[in-house]
Amino acid sequence: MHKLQNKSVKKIVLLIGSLFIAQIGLGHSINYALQDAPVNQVVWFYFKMGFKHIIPFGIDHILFVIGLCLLSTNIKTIFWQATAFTVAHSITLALSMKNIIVAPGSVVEPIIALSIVFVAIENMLLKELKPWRVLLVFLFGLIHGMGFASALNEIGLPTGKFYTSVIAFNAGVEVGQITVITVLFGCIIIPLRNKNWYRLVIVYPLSACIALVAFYWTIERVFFNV
Amino acid sequence: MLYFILIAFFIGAVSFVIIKFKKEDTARENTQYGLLQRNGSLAQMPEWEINKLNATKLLNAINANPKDLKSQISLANLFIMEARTTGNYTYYDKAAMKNIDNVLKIDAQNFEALTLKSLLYLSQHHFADGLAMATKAQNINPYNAFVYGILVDGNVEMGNYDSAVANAEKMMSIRPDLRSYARASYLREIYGDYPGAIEAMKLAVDAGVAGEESTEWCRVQLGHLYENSGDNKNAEMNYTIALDNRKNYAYALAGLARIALSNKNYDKAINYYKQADSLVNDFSFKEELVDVYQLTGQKDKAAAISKTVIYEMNKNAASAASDENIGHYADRELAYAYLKINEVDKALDHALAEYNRRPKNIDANETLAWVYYQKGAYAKAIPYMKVALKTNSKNPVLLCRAGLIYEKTGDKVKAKEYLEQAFKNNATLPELLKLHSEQALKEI
Repeated sequence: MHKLQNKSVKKIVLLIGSLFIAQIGLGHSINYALQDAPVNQVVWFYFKMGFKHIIPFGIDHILFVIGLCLLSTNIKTIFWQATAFTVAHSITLALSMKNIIVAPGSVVEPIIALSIVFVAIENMLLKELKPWRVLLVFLFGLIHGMGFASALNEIGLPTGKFYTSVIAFNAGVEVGQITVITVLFGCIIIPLRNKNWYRLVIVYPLSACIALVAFYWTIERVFFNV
Repeated sequence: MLYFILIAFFIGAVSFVIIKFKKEDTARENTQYGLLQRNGSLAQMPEWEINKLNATKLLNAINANPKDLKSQISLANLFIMEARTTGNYTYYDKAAMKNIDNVLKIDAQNFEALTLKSLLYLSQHHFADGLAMATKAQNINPYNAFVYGILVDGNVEMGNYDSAVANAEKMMSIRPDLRSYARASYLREIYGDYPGAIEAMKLAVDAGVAGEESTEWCRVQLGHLYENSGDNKNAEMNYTIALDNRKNYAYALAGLARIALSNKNYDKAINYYKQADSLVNDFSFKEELVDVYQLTGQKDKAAAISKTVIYEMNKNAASAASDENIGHYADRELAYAYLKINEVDKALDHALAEYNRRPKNIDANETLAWVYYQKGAYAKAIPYMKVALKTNSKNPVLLCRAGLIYEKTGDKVKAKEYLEQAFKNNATLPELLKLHSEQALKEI
């Protein structure tokens, strides 16, 4: 039994590993328009791009962040989750842009949608932050980072300004996320968290809606390549 | 319990996504492409039976020995030629790329495979990748004229015109033939030397065998150069000869359509365009047909074709997003297509995407400048138009657009200069552009 389990685990690890290895070698595109641009212009361009990738174009990432916020009304809870998510997506974003790992969009995008489903349903099952939730958010962050990389790859990076562009993009994404968290906490969570109907009226319906939308995206991305 | 169900569901779903991808990937790996049945008069062409026979032989050879690199490359070549004849670049470029990748997996330094791969990249408008790949091939064999041809094309598309000229000179010194003369002609045209371009294209035509696709393509290009120089008589003659030498040659038919259009013979132009469109899948025929329909007040027909063109181009572009190896970038074409249906914001998105990929290219700059003009952002159009004019191209359409942009920004001197240059040779111009340019010139 133990041997069988080991074999299955090995198989899965190999399968997942081959996903990434098979893709190594595809070069990321180059942004020739910003090749000779001054650094401040490059920083501003990628910062704006990162922000826009969350607000307004990253509706899936917005729902994920809302999902993270709905677990608990405690600021610390969102702080740990957001930190784990940020560290993780920064790692895979940089590694993907460096071509160290490049996963295919047809795998990354459905898993991003599934991660939203998971977080939303988990919000209905848990009431407080568990250590494994932070670990899971970290793992999901790794996947989201690859999604960010594919968006960044569409525009490309100017050669010689790799770190400047990636850091600026990441900063834009962070500011976008912080904006979502601030608005949600400021407008909904802080004013309503002490109401005894908070979970019943806010957390459950919102999480259910998020899960449904994300499930729809999963189907769309798996079967219709949208 | 519920939590464990959730975890099990998640692991199951992720595994399903990965296994599905791997299965599809394996299926893609194992796909062996063949020739698609030609339709209509293309199926009557003499080379079709030979091509089919060759394809069968090559496929059998590859099935018997997948490491038969020579057959893999020959089949890729056959697909590339078939793409050119039928206009089905989406299918045949993918098919050729598959064989080339098979070769490169076995021999990563295979010169022929690298040159063909760079050619395919250019065909799919992945210009930077094409140029990089051609440079790699050139390092392996610096004495091959064909690879210099690809370098010329790649450098032109990336806007490195000086390098393109140097590559063309090298190509000519290695092998002065149809391909090198055609490139010399194209470069002279870009630099505004129409008489020189015509002279070089005549040499290209003379160097080829009458009736062969490459020769007749050059003849059509020669006709187009005459058109842009205002010599419609010679243009028409070249299109007619091309059509005589190669029956139903779509590009010659499109040339005759333009001549009919300039003579205001709209029905004749529509018929020629329809004929060309039925033969080869080239969006430019449809785009030009849209112009004629708009001119003749057939707005519904124009809108319907425009929508089809946009849909098809977006579909091809989507394959570029999902597969970095292949997939046609068509942002410049999409920008113009969206302009035709007055969706200027979408046109701007595509014009910017094209510009970001090749900011030094004169065509990409012209497109962006023209989209800004259509958007009413005249001052924004100026820097891009300046880049578009940097080679002193005398293309009448470009000059009209430059004139109109300068006129709107209040620079009457430059506007007059460009508009007068555009009309100097009485070249064929799109009707609406001509009308607006004439009005602007009168007002100045």
